[in-house]
Amino acid sequence: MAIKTTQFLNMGPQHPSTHGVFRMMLELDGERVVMCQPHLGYLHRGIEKLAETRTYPQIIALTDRLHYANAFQNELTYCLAVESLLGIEVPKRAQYIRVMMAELSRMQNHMIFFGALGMDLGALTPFFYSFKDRETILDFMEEISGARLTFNYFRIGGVKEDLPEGILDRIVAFTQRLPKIVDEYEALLSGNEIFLSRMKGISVLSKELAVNLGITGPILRSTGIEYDIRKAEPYSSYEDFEFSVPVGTKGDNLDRYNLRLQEMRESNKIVRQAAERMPDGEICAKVPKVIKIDGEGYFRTETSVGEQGVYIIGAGDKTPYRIKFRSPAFVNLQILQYVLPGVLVADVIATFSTVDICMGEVDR
Amino acid sequence: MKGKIKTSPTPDDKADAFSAKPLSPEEIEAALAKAFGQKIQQSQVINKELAIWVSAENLLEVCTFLKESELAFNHPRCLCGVDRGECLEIVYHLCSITRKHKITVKVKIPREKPKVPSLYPVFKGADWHERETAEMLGITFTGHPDPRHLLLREDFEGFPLRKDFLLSNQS
Repeated sequence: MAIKTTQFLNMGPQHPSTHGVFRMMLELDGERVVMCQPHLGYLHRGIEKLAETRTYPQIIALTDRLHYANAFQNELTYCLAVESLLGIEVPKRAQYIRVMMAELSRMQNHMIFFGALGMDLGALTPFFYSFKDRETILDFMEEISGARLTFNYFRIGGVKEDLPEGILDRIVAFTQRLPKIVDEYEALLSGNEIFLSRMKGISVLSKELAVNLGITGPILRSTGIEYDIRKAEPYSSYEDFEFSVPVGTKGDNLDRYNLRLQEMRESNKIVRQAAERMPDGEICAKVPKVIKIDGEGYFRTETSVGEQGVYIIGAGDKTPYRIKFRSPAFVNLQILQYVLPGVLVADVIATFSTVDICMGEVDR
Repeated sequence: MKGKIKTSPTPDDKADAFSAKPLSPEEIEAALAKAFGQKIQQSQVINKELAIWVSAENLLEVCTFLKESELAFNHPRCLCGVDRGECLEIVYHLCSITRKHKITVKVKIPREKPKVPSLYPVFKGADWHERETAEMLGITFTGHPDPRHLLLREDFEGFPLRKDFLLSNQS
């Protein structure tokens, strides 16, 4: 009988690189990973069950708490779902404000990704750069919505308040600066040899597996599939804006990283176009005082992580009968079991970081 | 990198599927009626998307066809369970990355000893979705390779998303 030479390593749940509370059981052969078994649920709050006891407008506050960096996009998905079930036409100004906020939050999500990735790999400087710039975006968000993380700013039918005076000029000035900021990020990290050796060709995800697993967002696009819901099924006036969808070729860690830096540039274009062409008019449509939904529908948007879906079943009540949040990170996290076997234990952290998840969204 | 995807299709899909246009719900309905006839229990267009009901025995066959035929529903988007009162319902949302059309597949199963075949052999992405649905609604997915709890702790009793599981503010 052969002697088993592998050993088990329990990583997490309180590991600093796990971006929340997440545990992996790793089976190691020397320094190579043989098997990875993820354990999750430490942050499960039962948001879907809770939502069944809340009225439709109250649920917006719950969607904020799925992902701290994507709150605007999650609010947007939910509001669009309810609006489309009620047949509400959202005023153009509100649609543009929503797009602008969603893209600003995509930029700051990718800034967190960039800073955290550098930090996980032992480079602390990128973190200070990206969080300084993220602060600028958070200041805009605070000025517009009154909050820095849990905004509760979108409403069914539009947005809560109009934009403060003069903010659009400052946002445009920021978008002019952003390409230089991203250049700076690339200069900081992209060419670093130690960084490259832990990114290039590590944890390659194939096209077929990505599609079969239901992966969406930057991870799907890094494998070479050009699929973006903003282009495939435009919502909230995305068809008005010119932007391209960056696509990778190999599907390794480096592709996932480069793609997000490019996405920041593209989001920046959208923010600028929205701020410059902001139409005048109403900010909220006429909505019934008490919202009751009869019927069902699945709606999805492209958040920074991937496809955020909301499946609402209403039975003619003030509260939904069943609501399902399909969170992109929950699905994307499944790649770990497939890409980790074979990599070095040190690169597990790099791979995990490039998946870019927030455990609050995974566990709901 | 634009256009790369059109020249290098994945082996799962026929080459012409990439240039093919999305089919309307009615066209998909007709294609399925032709292939399965009575096995599609019911079909309905909800919000411009086709929803079909199949029995638990035919689920794997229908989903394999949806994925491997020229309909190319290769992307599992979402899977969830609903407590409909007298029965439980599992809802599969599939879409096609290549053809960009969508379908909803629904399976009704009895409340007592609910059982449905696992879609893991067809879509690996069903893995965690099924584990979550199983623990939340008490459904057995036969053939699932790893049927442990996912989000709830192992010794958790009850099925939280069933309607008879009450929260403390509901009782």
